[in-house]
Amino acid sequence: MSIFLEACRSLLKPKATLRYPLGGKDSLQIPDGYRGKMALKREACIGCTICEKDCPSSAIIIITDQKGKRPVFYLDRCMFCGQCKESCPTKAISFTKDFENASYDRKTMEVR
Amino acid sequence: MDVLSSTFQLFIFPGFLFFILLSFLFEWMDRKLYAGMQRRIGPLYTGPLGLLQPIADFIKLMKKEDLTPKYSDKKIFNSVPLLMCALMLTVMLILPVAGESGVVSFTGDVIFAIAAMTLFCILIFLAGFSSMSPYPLLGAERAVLLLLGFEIPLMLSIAGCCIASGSIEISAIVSWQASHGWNILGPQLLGFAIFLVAIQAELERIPFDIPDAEQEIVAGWMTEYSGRKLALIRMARNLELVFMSALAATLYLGGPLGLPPQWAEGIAFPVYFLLKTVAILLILTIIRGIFARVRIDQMVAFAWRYLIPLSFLQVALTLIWRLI
Amino acid sequence: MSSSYERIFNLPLGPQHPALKEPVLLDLKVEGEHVVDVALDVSYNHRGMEKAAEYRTYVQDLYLIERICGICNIAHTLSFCQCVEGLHGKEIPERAKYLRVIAEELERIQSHLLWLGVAAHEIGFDTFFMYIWLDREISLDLMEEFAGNRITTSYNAIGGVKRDMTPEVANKMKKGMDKLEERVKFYKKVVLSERTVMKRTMGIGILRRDAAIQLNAVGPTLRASGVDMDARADDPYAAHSLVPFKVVTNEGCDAFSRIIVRLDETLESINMIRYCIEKLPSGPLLQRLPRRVPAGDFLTRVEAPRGELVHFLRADGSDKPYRYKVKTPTFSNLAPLREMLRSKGKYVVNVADVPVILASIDPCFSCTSRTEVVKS
Repeated sequence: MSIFLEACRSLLKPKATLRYPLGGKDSLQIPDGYRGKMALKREACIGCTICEKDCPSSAIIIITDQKGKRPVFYLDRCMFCGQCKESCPTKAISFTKDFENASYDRKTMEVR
Repeated sequence: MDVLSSTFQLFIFPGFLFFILLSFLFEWMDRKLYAGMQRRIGPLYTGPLGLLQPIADFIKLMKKEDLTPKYSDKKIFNSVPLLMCALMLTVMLILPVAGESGVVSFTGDVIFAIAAMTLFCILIFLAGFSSMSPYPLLGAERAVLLLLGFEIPLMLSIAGCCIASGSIEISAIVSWQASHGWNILGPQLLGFAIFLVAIQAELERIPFDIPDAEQEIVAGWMTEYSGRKLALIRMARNLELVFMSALAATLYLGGPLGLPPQWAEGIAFPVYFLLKTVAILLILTIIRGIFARVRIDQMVAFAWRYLIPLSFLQVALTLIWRLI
Repeated sequence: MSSSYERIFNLPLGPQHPALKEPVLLDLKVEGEHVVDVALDVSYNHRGMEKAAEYRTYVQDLYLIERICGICNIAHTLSFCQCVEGLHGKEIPERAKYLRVIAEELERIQSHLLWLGVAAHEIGFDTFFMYIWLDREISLDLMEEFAGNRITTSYNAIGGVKRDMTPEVANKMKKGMDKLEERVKFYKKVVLSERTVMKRTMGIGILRRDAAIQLNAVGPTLRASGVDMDARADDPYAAHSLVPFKVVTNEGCDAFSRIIVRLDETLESINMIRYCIEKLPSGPLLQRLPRRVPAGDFLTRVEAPRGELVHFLRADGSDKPYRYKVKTPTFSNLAPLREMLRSKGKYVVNVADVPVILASIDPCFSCTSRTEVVKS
């Protein structure tokens, strides 16, 4: 009997499914600290290469640009664990809230 | 003109095309209401409000590859889906949609309906048995056990209606209800409840969808079917749903009867018929949503311990009421 | 198909089957509708985790061990961190201990709600399944706020935890716990009053108390047979010696009592989280530990949602482990599962009961696959 009443009440409540693409009524509240796509503060990076050694999935490659060594992140290998942010001694790596990273093009998977 | 109108009645309205479209509509309504009870949306994208989803599923299945197991009995395996569809479409012609009698009406068409339901169960058994695979075999065995349990209450509750109106012809039952009030008011209320429980077992819906239990025996007797044969089987099952709901509406709720104005009888009869059939469908869907599945031995025990004595009681009550 | 006059009929359940969430082969020997025996094969999901752990540093291994199981990920990382911290011989800060308990209990709530939904689905009660998983979203959203992700949260770190609990998150968690408690009490009421649920789970999958102890059952499977053994109470770790809780047992020994045990454990976890939020001490979150772990052996026991989880670490002084061994709770529950699936005497097991029995031990075969038999 309690399930029957619950079912009747559910017919009147709003639907639990969100439609996609998001926006308007169907939007998600992404909490702070969510690990989406990463971002690098270039001026804070000192080129210590600890992030490359600590990444569990080898998603970071160190390249040399005009200021010195810096990491390049590959989103298709990354598992968004957050270890690079923890290992960085100067807090140069941070995570944004961007989670819609799927793409048809391999080139968009690099975060420089 | 007579041939033309007969052909129109047979094939278009209220014949095959009407019933096929109605079966798609009923599947849509079932899915939407079931989803609404679970706070889901159900079919959404195909057509407005997802109305074309069952038709899209049917077309998709028709396009898929049709595999036949190597060791199956090919003649029976291939012919069962066609036989199921043909059987359902034929027996639906006795339903009174546009008037007090259906497209086909003869003395004893209630018996024909009961025989068709039993034959459908036998076809289910043949479908499972000819697949020669463990899961369909178990499903077929369970379908026959279901038949043993629920055929008697089904027949006895229909017999109660026939006794009350004194005839075994559907058009006569409907005419009797026109003059004496709907069958559900009176001792047939118990028969209506028994009929609703029994047809859920016949249709293999939760709580009695044991031959088709997804979690235990994959898809039961339908496991080895794919492609076009599966599309036809699904359509036969939807047609069965329409048929049973319509039979319940006809025998107990007065079929196409209502309070129509004299000039609009041609339109009002089908509308009333549809409304009553949809009401029965809603009851069946709500029951589907609020119960779990029972086990086969529990179901057979339930049928023989409770339903059959109750159906005998109901026939006795009808006889007494008739005599008074 | 069996030949002409054999009474025992082979019904393979798996490795691909709609009843199973992970591949396992349950080769049932069926007589009519009764199951007489079963042959288990769990090696379908072997991923070589233990060997892979030997090639990665401890920092990288944390994430590998986390992915042994998605829904018990906090239990796995907790044991790993405890092994490494134990070999270093250092204590972690008090605040980190309480936060670890909050994370672990939140994961237990989410895992038990998942299990309850799956059990409802196995008995054909899809509406109940949808309602439970909708309420599970509350706990998953809380996990996302608190730990960073819904599943595979990467919350524990070697030496403590990674993220702090801000007052807003603490408020959200209190409100979420209130809502969850009300819903879990409603589900308990439904389970105790819905006749079809009781008919499908009472008297099914009986495991007597002596059989449970002898066959080494763990977790709610053991506690539903009346034995009160719980790694949080017998061998306290993190802040469990300071957080009061009751070990939930039930004398029923069947699948229904396992449902009740898990629901009661969920209510206990809700109370534990509330206590921890109240009594959370201030302090640092992380104790920095050197990368090289001193040589030695260490074994920890943690109460994962499914039962007792054992991790063993042998370190040789470098920054990579020498040998890492994991014993998951489902592995211990396999022998009782076989016992529960056999019909003997008056206790009969129908084919229709097999998914219910399998679901009642809360199997996680992806964690369990540790060996693979290769026939030459």
